Amino acid sequence: MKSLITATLAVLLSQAAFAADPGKPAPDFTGKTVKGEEVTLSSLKGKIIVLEWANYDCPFVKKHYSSGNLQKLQEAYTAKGVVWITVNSSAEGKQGYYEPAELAERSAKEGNKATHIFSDSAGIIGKAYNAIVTPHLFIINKEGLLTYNGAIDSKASTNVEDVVSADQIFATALDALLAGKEVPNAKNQPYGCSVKY
Amino acid sequence: MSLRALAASLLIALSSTNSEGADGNATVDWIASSTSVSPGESVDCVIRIRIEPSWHIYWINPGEAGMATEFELQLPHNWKADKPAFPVPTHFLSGGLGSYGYEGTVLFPLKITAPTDFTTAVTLKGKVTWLACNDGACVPGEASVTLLLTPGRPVETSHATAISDARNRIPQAAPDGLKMEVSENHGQVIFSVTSASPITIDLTDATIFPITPQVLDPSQLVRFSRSEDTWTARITKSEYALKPVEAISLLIHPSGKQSPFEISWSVNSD
Repeated sequence: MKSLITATLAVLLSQAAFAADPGKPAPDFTGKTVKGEEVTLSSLKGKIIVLEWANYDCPFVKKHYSSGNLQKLQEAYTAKGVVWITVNSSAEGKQGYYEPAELAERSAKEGNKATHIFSDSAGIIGKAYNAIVTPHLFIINKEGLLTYNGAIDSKASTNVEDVVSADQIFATALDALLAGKEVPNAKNQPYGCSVKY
Repeated sequence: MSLRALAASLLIALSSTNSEGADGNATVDWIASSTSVSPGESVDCVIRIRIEPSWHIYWINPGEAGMATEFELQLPHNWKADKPAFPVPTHFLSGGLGSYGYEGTVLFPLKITAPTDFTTAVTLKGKVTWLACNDGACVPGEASVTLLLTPGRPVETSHATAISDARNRIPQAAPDGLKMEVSENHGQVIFSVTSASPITIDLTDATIFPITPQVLDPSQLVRFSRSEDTWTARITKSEYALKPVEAISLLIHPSGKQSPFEISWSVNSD
């Protein structure tokens, strides 16, 4: 019986893990923004969407906000029509959790330039996408297919100086999608703090 | 700005400095088995990291989240040191993700060699960076450490035994004649360890740690099983490792008194 449960669990886990594979339809979601609005994936059809998992208190996320890297990416790509969504899946009581109003305030303080900021403290969207760390980036194409699942860049460190010298894996993928080219490195291992579900 | 507002903003500044947690919930020092060393001779030492209860730091391969602990030594001219060695880690789930690292007190052994013209005392300097996490949070840690050494015959410190024990426990090169083959089948990586001479190694209950990151799924620990003279382990490949495995190193920690060892394979050596 135990092995049956383990086997079932393994199947469920592997389905969860591979639900967010590039080429597959992006899992649907209804997100609650820090302003109290509801945003569904289906309402965004026809647009390129970026999902960025964030926990402002995680040292890896701090690296990309204190250097201005994430704000720059958010600004540059939203200017090109991309819908950028920052998702916070920290559970209440864990690092990086803020009530929606506080999360809005903290995001403003960080200079976050995303289109929407989701408060996902129940971890529903995070688990649907199998977001494992912060930062973890996903790209959804205009047809609603997942196009990228991976790291923000190539250097798994908390050192701000590494932002400039790292390979821009995520930006390269998004540039390719915007240019109508094949997306390189569509799936790669992200680095960071575990998402504090 | 009113005095009260100034005081309030100062308080915020102070508290945010604390919450930065640059001390990473650990204390670090550099200790040697002797406070003196003869010119041209070596001295055993360790970088010691004492981690606060319930927190952990990471091995050379952190697993699915986290960051490897790093050491940077600044040595005076003609001084030599090997890299601090990582002891055998433990496997744990951190925020549900498979991770490799340490809790409690960890000793990273290294050997320092003085130059032949060592005549006046020196202070060696080093920097250690790490990430400390528990289930609810991660904080960065950074510490500068120093070690004062004077020229002269070695004089044992109270740390000598602990340092020598730590050195004896660090992973070794694979025993002579031991060979590892690697193949893949349906998302699993299959490791076969064989011995050229009659098998003397017992890998029952041995623990396997992938030194090469991002190849194997770190969520579970897998054991070897024995068939004739071959020990085989099947480990799920990381969902992010999309290319065929071309090279991989493992740390194998057999049970009992056998030494932990590192063994490597690459497609070219087949």
